[in-house]
Amino acid sequence: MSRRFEVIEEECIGCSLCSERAPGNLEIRSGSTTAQVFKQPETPEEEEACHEASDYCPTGGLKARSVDSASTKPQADTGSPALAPAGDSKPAGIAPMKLEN
Amino acid sequence: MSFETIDTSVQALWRFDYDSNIKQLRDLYEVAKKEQWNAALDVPWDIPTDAAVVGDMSAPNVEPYDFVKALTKDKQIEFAKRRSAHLLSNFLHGEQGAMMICGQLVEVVPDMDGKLYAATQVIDEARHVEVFARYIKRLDRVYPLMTGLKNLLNAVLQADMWQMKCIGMQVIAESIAMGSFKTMRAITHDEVFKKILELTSQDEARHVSYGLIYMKDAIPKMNEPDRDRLEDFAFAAMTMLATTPQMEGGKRVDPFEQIYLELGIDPARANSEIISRMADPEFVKAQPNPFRDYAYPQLERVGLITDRTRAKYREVGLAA
Repeated sequence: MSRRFEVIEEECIGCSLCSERAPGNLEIRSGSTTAQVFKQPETPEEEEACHEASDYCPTGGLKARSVDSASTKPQADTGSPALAPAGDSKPAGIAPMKLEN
Repeated sequence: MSFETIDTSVQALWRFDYDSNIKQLRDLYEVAKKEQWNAALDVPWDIPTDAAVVGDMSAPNVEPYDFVKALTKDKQIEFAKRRSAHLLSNFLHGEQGAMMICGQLVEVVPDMDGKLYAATQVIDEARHVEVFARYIKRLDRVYPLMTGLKNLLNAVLQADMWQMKCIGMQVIAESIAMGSFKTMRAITHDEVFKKILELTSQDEARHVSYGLIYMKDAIPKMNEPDRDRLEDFAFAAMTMLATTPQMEGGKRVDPFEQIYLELGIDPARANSEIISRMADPEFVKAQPNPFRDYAYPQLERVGLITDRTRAKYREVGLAA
């Protein structure tokens, strides 16, 4: 099951850790103080990088949403029915992305 | 010269295998090396600070109290400036505590990746001490360390498990700092202070991320009694700072009394107004609370809020 990622602007402090972890999907545009998803992950590597960025986002402001063909399922223990931090979910067997540009 | 000592005891741990074993920590170490800045050069110290635009860091989103409205405009600015200096003094002391605790983390954490990253954080904290000490002089003076914060920092310095040091500093204290800096950035219009908060916030974000990465890895590996001790330590650390009244010599003290007296404010009137507003649960709920809004959710994310402890946080109003 793939996921869509979304930055909650009110929670983001623009620290750029997510764009360091997933440079192919997240960025802080010049003049902006918050991160944004400029491309949803299209490969397992990108999805893994976005998961890591969400799991370790210091404010919890990068959320993952399950994209099921039929419905949007709630995530565990976040209090938010459709949008949630990726939590501890870790797709196995995927090589993590390098942070170096 | 003003100083205090406490005895601490840590078990330093050598690692003789230097390969990375927690990749996310090694990645964070790489980011930390790239993001270093210089407190002397990267803050626009040549811009003067106009006291009128600094703002009152101690009172976010608060309609001014009557005892403040009764002051002249100049005195209102002076009051805001001094209260801000008081709050920032405690961040300054906190940064020094963080610098010492991170030095301990370098010694005690069991992984090379954890040690390497913690070493970068020591210099981050040194920069924070430098910038806050320098900026506070623009406002007023350095005020003493509040008892609750001192108790928390000393508890973390003296903790006998490395996971307690990591939770107390990286997850709780750093989350509070990160949340508070965000609030302060929204309040102040002083360019110099804004830049300081922008730079320090980026560092704080890494510090929190370190805690999340390391604790999500370490907590599931702990045995139940140690994990219970860690959960209890986290709760004690949160309440030490958030809900324990400021005490000195067994007597409750008002941290702002000195400022009130210097500006001709009656402390009894000020306190009565503040207590009356704080008695309104809606008012309390509407105020930013970094413990409830930032630290508690992080404890949830690392799995330290359990059926055993959740109700205790609710009881003291710290559950998000």
